[in-house]
Amino acid sequence: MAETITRRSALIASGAGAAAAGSAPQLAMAETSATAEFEDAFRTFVQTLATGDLDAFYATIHKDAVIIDEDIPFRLTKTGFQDHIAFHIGGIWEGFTWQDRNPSFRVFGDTGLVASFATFRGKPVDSGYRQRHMAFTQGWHKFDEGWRLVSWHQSPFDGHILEASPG
Amino acid sequence: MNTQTLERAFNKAVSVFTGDGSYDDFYGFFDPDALVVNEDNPFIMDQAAYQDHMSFLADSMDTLEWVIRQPDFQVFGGTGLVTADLTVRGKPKNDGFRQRHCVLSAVCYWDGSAWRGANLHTSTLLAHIYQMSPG
Repeated sequence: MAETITRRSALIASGAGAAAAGSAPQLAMAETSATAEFEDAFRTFVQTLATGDLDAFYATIHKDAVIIDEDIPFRLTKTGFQDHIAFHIGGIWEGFTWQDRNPSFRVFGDTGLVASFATFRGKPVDSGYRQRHMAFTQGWHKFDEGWRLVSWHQSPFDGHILEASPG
Repeated sequence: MNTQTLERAFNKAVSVFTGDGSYDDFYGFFDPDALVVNEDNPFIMDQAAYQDHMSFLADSMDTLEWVIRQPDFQVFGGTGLVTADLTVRGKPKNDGFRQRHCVLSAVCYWDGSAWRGANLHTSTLLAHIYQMSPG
């Protein structure tokens, strides 16, 4: 690790927390061919969402994956997640994007982990532009056919404590 | 390497918050390169930062408990996944009892002889949307 962030030092440094994503040092780990390959899989996955290639997007998600989406107060199966995405793309948005920020990658054997900040933003039909800032983690497993996502957990900063505790 | 061994390993790791376990078991479960997203902080933590945070909590709380509800344990080859609903509750020193309702996920991996934690992520339901959208 290049630098350890302590709770109080980072909270105090980040003020109200709004700039936390920009101020926190990257949680670097020496890149290997395994992490590079895993990062490529993640980038490809993100690109399928950005381009609306839902067949490829869903093909990367394992059938037994669990998704904890900030838009829902319970765990989703892949089928439930697909239903939720179908709601979003069913004509209620003029456009939206999901952007990862400062992702950190870990590979432990055939297990991959992404931990990152993200912003979801877009413009609903007949309403104003909006955005939602989050942290997310993803668990991946490398199967014979390649890396597949097995978990995706997103949590908006609305629900995180943003200020240092007293004392 | 199955859901039963994953369940036993995870339950032992968190028993410091659910029973009579120890912080050594908890920290020992996680890989040194694990990453943690905790609802009590607005940034991603490595293990050292997370231990610093937990030490802060241990010093400032009379009691601290996790109530894990409806846990689900899954295994994909050498990858383990734990998801659950979670209530963190306790009593700060010199202040009243409080609780926080969350969703939990933990990605784990099999190191050849044991399950290890690659991450722990808790998010409060306070920040999740829980009402139907209009229309």
